[in-house]
Amino acid sequence: MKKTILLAAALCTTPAAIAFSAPVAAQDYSKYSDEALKSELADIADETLAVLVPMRDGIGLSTNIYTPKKGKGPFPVILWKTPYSEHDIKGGTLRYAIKAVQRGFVFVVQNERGRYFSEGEFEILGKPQSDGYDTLSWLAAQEFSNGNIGTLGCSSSAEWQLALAGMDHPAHKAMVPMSAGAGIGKVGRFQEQGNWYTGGVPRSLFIPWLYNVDNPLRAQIPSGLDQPTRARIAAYNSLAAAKPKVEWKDQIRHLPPADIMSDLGEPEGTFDTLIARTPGDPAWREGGLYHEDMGWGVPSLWFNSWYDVSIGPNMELFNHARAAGKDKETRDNQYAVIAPVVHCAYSKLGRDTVVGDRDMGDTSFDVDGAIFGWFDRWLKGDRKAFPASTPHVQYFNMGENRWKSAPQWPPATAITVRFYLRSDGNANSLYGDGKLSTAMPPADEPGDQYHYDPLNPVQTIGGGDCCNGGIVIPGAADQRVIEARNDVLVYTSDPLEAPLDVTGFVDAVLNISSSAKDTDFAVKLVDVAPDGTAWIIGDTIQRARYRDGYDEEKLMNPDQVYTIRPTPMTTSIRFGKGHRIRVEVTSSNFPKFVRNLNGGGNVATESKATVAKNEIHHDAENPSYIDLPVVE
Amino acid sequence: MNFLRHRLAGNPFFRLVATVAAALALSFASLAPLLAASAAAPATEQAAPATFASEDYAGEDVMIPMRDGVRLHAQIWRPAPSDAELPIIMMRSPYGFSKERIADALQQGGSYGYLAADGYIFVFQDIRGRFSSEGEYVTLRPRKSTAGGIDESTDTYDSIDWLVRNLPENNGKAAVMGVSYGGWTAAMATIDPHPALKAVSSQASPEDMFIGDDFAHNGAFRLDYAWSWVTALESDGKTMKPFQFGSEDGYDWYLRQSDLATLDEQHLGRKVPSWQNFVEHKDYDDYWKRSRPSHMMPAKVAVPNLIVAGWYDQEDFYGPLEIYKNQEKGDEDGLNYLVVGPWNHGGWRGEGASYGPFELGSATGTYFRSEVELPWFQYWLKGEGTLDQPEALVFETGSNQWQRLASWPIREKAVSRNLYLRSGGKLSFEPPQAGEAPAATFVSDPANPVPYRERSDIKPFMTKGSTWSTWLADDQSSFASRNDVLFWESDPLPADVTISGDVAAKLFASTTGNDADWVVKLLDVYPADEQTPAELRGRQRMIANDVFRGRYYKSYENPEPLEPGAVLGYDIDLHYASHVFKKGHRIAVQVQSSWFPLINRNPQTWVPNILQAKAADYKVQTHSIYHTPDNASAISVTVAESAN
Repeated sequence: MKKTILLAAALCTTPAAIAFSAPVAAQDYSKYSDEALKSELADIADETLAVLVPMRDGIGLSTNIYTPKKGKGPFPVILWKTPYSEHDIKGGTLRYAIKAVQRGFVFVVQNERGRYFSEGEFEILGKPQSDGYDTLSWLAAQEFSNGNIGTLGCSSSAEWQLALAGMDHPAHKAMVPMSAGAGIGKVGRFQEQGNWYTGGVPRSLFIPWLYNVDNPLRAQIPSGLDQPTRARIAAYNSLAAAKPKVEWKDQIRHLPPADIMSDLGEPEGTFDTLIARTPGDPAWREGGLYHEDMGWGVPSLWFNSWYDVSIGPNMELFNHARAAGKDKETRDNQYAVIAPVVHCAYSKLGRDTVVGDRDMGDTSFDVDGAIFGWFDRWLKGDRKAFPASTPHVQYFNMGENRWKSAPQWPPATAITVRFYLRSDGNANSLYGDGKLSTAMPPADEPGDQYHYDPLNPVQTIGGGDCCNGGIVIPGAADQRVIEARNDVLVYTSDPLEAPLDVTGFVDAVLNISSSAKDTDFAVKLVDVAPDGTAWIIGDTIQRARYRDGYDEEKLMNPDQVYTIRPTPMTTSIRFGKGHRIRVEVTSSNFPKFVRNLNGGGNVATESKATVAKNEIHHDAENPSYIDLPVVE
Repeated sequence: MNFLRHRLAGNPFFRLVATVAAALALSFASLAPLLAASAAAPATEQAAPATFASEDYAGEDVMIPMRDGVRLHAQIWRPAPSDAELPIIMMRSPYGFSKERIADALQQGGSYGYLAADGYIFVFQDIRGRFSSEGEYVTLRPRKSTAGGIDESTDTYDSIDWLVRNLPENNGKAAVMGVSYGGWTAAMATIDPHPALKAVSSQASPEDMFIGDDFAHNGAFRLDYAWSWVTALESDGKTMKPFQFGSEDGYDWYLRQSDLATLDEQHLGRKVPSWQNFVEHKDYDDYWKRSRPSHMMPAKVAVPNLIVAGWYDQEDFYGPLEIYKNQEKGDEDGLNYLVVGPWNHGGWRGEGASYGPFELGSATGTYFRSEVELPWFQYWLKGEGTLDQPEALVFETGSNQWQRLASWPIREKAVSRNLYLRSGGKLSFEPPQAGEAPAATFVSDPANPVPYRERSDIKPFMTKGSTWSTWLADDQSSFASRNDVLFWESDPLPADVTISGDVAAKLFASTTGNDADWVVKLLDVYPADEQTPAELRGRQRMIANDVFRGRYYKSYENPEPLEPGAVLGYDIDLHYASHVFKKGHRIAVQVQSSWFPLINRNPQTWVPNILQAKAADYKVQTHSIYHTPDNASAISVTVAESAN
C-alpha cells in the first residue's frame, strides 16, 4: 500500500541532503527526527503495513513490509522481529529500514506473537522455531522476495534468531544477532536460561522488563479485519499499555521475591512462571531459547559488548557455532565484533567514547558497513562485500583503547597466569590486607571472614546489565564506594611494572565455607588506576547449592570447605603500567542479582533473612585464585 | 486544560508569560513553594471544581516603584468579581512565578487552595533584579548601610505602601509569607514594618548560611547544593537554568573536580558572584553574618510570625528553629509561634501523608494548610475566628502524633541523657568503664569519600529525576558496613524511648592530620523480623545529623590547624528531634569523616582555604573516636515521657 499522505509530507520536510541521496555511509541519520526519517522511508519504499502473516496454528503475526521503489525485484529480504511497539516504525529500526531499502533489500518488521497487532498469546522470544520458520517460508514465497532472507536485530530482536538458527531454514541465508544474551539457554559452561540466571542466581532485570512487556490482559483489535483497516487502526492506536510508574529501587527489595509482581497488583503472568523454575528445570526447553544440542545452521555476524548482561554466554555461543555449525561453510562463517559499550549501544561507537565514567578513546567501527556488507555477501552473493579475509574476532581492548583482531576467541596466544588471593586474615575492604599474588599461599595462611546480611546487600555500581527499569546504570564505574565495605573482601596486586593484556575468559576458583546451608559468592575483576580509581571490568556470581551443577541442589554443611567455580568473566583489558589488578569477593551484588536470604530453602518464596558468616580460604591446601588469560 | 488556566491565557494583562513560564518549567520543587504545588494537586488538569467558592482568580501584572526609582514586577491575583474589601498576602521570591503554577496553586487542592477559597488578594513579587523586576540582584541582600539605602525590608515596605494605596477594594491589611528564600524575605518584612503589615509566616527561612543552612553547616561547605544553586540563580537574572553536568553521576563528577575555587571559570567561562564570595569568605566573617535575619529582626517582636519548619528539610531546618529561638527572647506579647512537621523543604504545601517509605498517619500538609495557616491569616487579616494556636505545634515522628506544646523545646517531663559510644560498637545509656578498648579507629581517604547516599542515587540535586527532596529518608544501613564509617548500636529497646528537644554530640576525636570533618548521624534501626515490611526491615532511619569542620574547633572566625594525635572534645549540634524509638527497635550512631558530595572533601592537611586546595593536598589520615571514662563520646538526647 502506498502512503501518499506521508509522501506528500516528505516533499516538504525531507532535508535536501537526503533527497540528493548521498552515500549511505556519509549520512548521520541520528540528527534527524523520526518524523523526517519516516518521510524519507516513505519516499523510497512502498509500505504494506499490519499484514497478518499466517502461522501453522492459524494465528496471524502482524508485519510491516517496506519494499524498495527503486530497482527491479524480486529482492533479498531482511527480517526484524520485535516484542516492542515498532509498528509505528521509529528509532534504530527506522534507521535500519532506510539503509536496507536504500541498498536494495526488502525490510520487514514483525511483532512477536501476542504483542500489539499480532494475534495469540505472548511468550518471551515468541516461538522462533515455529513462528520464525513459518515467517521465513511465507516471506520466501512472496513475489517481492528472491528467496534469500537475513535476520537482523539487537536484544529481543536478536535473541529469537538463535533458536531459529537451529532450524536451518533453507531461506535463512545469514543473520546478524546483536547483544543476544537472553536467547541462550544452556551452552557450554553457561546455563543461564536466557539470562534469567547467572551461576544459579536470578537476575533482577526481568522483573522491570516483564512488568512493561508482559501484558497478559492486553487490548486487541477484533479479528477478521482486512489489512487496510488494520493498517489504518495501527496508524492511530498503538495498543501500547502505559502501566503505572513503579519505584523499582524500592520495589526490588520486596520479599519474598516471587511476590514482587503480584504485590503491584499485576495479574499472574510470565514472571510468576519463570521465577518458579530452577536453573535446571526441563521446562526451559519449552520456550524459545537456544540450547547447545539444537545444531547451528546459519552464517552469523555477531555483535557483542563488554558491558552487556552476558558477554560470557555470548562468546561461548560464538565458539559453539564455530564448532557445531552444520557444515564447513557455516562453521567458517561466524564472525564476532566485541565493542566496549553497554547493551545495544553500538551507535555510541565513535571518537571520544565514554562508557559509564571511563574514557575509552576512539572506538569508531563501521557497524552498518559490516552489517550490510554481510547481507550483500549472503543475500546477494557479492563475495567481495564481506571478504573471507575479515578477522573472525574483532574486539576492542580497553586500557589500550584500540581495536584488535584474532582468528579465534580467545586469541591463541593467551597464556594463563594464576593470581592467588592472599592475606593475613583481614582482607575486609580496601583498607584491609588482601593481596593478589602469583606466589602460592603457605599451609597455614588464615582465610578471610565476613558477615553477609541480606538486608544490607552490597550494591551494584555499573558493570554489565541492561533493561532493568533504571535500578542499575551499566558501564565502567569506580568501585571504591563498594570496596570500602567490611563485607567485601578486596585483593589487590602490586602496581604493574609493565602493562598486562588480559584477553579471554577469566576463571575464578574459590574455596569457601559458610555458616549457612546456602549462600552466594560474587566475584569482580577490577582495574585500579594509579590515582586509585577502581574500574569494574567484569563480575560473576555463584550460588553455592549449584556448585556442582544445576541438576542437583546440594546444600552445605556449616563450616565445611567447598570449592566453587563461578562461570568465567570475559573481557579484553590492558592493565597499564602502574595499574593494579584487583579482585573483590563478597556474597551479593544487588540489585543486579536477587539476594540469597541464606535460608537454604526455596529462594523465590523465602522472606526470612539470615545473616551468614562466610569465609574465603586461601591456604596451600585450599587455595583461592583467579586465572588471567594474558596475551603478548 | 482547566477553566482557570484557559481564562488566564487569554487575559491581556499578561504580557510576560514567555520568560516566566519558561523559567518555571523546571522541576524545582525543593526550592520554590509554588512549584511544589503541582505535585500536591494531581487533579488540576481537570475542570475547576464546582466547590471552589470564589470560582476564579484573575491576575494582573504591575510594576511597583521603590524609593530609589527601581520598579519591581508583581502579579496581583484576586477573586473576580470581588465586592468585599480583602486583605493582601504577598510572596517575594527570586525564583520567578509562573502563571500556570499560580493558577494550579490557587485552586482547590492546590498548595494555596484553602487561602484562595477564603478570599485574599495575592501578590507575587519578583525581588529586585530577578525576572521582570528592575535593579540588581544580590543573594540574601544585607541590610542597607545608609539611611537612604534600600534592602529587602525597604522594598517590602514600599511594595506594601503602594499596594494598600493603589489596589482597589483592599482592606488595608497585609501579610507576607513564603517558603525558603521567600521565608527569608518574610522574616525581613518584620524589620521597620509597614503599619499595614499585620502578620507574616516565615516558612523554612535560612538563618545562617555558614553555620546551619543551605551553603555550609558548621563551616563545612555544602558542595553540590551551593554549586547547583548559585549557577542556576546567578546567570542572566531572568531564568532558572540549572548547570549542565553532562553526567548523572554526581559523585563521580564532583570527585573529578580538583580546583573548586575556579569551578565557575572552568565550566562557565565566567565568575559567578556568590561562588567567588564563597572562596573569598572562607571563614565566618561579616559576609555570612550580615544576612542572618534573626540578628536583624527587631528584638521585641511586633509582627505576629508563624514560623514553619520541617524535620526532613534538607535545606533550611536550622534557620526557622534558630529564628524562632532568637525571636522568642523578645516575644513579650506572644506573637512568635512555631510549627514543626514531618516535612522536607516546603513539604507542608503538599499532602504530607508520607515521607519516603515512612507513612505519617495523616495528611499532615493538608492539615497544616487548612487548620493552622488558614486560621492564622483569617485571624490577623480579617479579624475572623479565634487564634487557637499553641506556642509550638510539633509533630512527633515514630508515633505520628501532633503535639500542642507550651514551649519549644519542652521544659517539663524531660531529662537530658547521654547515649554513650562504647567499645565493641555498643551504644548505651551507661557510660564507659575503665579497661574497655579506648577508641575506635578508621582510615579516612579523601580519594574514596563516603557518599551521602547510595552512589547510584547521587544525581546533582537540580538534575531531572533527582530524588534530593527525600534523601533524608534513605536507608543508612549500607554506610554502616563501610570500614571508614564507625557504628554503634543499642540492644533492642525493651520499651518505647521518646526523645523531644535538643540533640547534640560530644565527640572526643583525634586525627593524624591537621584537619578533619566529623559527621554524626543518630539513627532509628528497624527490626529485621518478618513482621516488619520488607522495605523497612533492618532499615536505619535518620533522626538527627550534622557535620563539623575540625579547623573551627576553637573559632569559626579564626580556624587553626589541628594538632596531630591530640584528643579534642568537639561539641556538634545535631539540632532537635521529636521521635519515638519503638520497642524492639535499636538506637544507633554513625560517625564518619566525609559525606560526599553533600559536603566538599576535607584535605585533612592544613590549607588556608579548602576551596583552593589542590589535588595533592588531599591526604589519607587515620581518625580515632574515644570512649574512655575521661573522654566519653556521647550523643545527648532529651528523653521525654511520651505525650501519648
